[in-house]
Amino acid sequence: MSVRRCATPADTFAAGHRLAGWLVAGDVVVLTGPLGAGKTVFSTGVASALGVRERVTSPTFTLVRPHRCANDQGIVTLYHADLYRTQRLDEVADLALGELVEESAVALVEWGERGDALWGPEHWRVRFSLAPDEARTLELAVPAGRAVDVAEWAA
Amino acid sequence: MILAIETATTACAIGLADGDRVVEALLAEDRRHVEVLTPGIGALLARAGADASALTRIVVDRGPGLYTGLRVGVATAIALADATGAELVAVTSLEVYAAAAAARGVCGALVAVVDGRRGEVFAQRFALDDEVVALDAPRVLRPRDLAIAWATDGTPVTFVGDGVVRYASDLGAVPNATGLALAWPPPASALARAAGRASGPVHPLYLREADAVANFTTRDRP
Repeated sequence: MSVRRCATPADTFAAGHRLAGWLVAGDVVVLTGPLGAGKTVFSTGVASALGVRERVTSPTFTLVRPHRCANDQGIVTLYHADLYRTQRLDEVADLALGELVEESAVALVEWGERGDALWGPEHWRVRFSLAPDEARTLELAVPAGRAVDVAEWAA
Repeated sequence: MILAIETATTACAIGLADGDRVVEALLAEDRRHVEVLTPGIGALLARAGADASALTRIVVDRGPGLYTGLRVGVATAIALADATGAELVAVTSLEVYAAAAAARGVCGALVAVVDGRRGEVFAQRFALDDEVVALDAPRVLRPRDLAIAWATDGTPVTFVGDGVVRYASDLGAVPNATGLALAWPPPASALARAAGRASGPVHPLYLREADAVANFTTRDRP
């Protein structure tokens, strides 16, 4: 687990932008933390780095929104999901995010802890919290066996 | 006639039993369940000179396996049973794999291994002697943990299923283990396994959901 402090939304965006470079097709990134803690800003940073052109907003009402990507990481689609409105695990399972991403996509899942039983042991996890001074703290957990420089990400 | 529907892996397959005669058809191997299943059933029935009204029983694999496949297979089976009045009978992917291994002459200790994706497998242990007997309940675990358990145990075992292919690096390293790679549970084995079984309502077996209801009921929702 490594921790990055983000003083501004631009920092939070940059944290997402940097993490996106490590993603490969099949990855699921679970984002947890309270409302307003930066999950959507972080998502726009990831989307930007993956070459999403359109505007990325919180998909609270649609549950999941696919975005076409342009990058050299083999990621063709970014599925941006928000489980805030889900009431039961069946609803999360019905999205079949873990299977949708397998061949050429990744998923960013806000309120993703609601689907914890479905993601399996190998997923990315970013826990967002709000500090009293309005800064955001991001704690990153990386899937086993990935060679990524988390110390550099946290710096 | 008895129809078997198989959608627990990326493959979509069906089988049709008319008395002692059983025919199988592989409809697709690449996750096109929703596209190929219903037309495939129609075509197989037509080849037998029949239509859906000839169906007396429908056997469906309820998983565990590929979520997007299972919901197509189970929904189609329920709808078809409802429309024709045929009996609906469920089998699991794991027991069908075990029956398929038995039909291929495997005996002794067997573990059916279905690719659970996300770095996990669905597995169940069977004893294959005169008959196929389940020794534990289906569970979700990492292939590495399954391999370690059997490497420690040391008794000869056969692994059967689509998980044998995907996780060959883990399971292939177990001493005294034999792998039987079958990319999908054969519908003919589903028909054999379901013989004499009582019919009833069918629910998909996803396995991962059961543990997780608490995530919704106990969490403080803002």
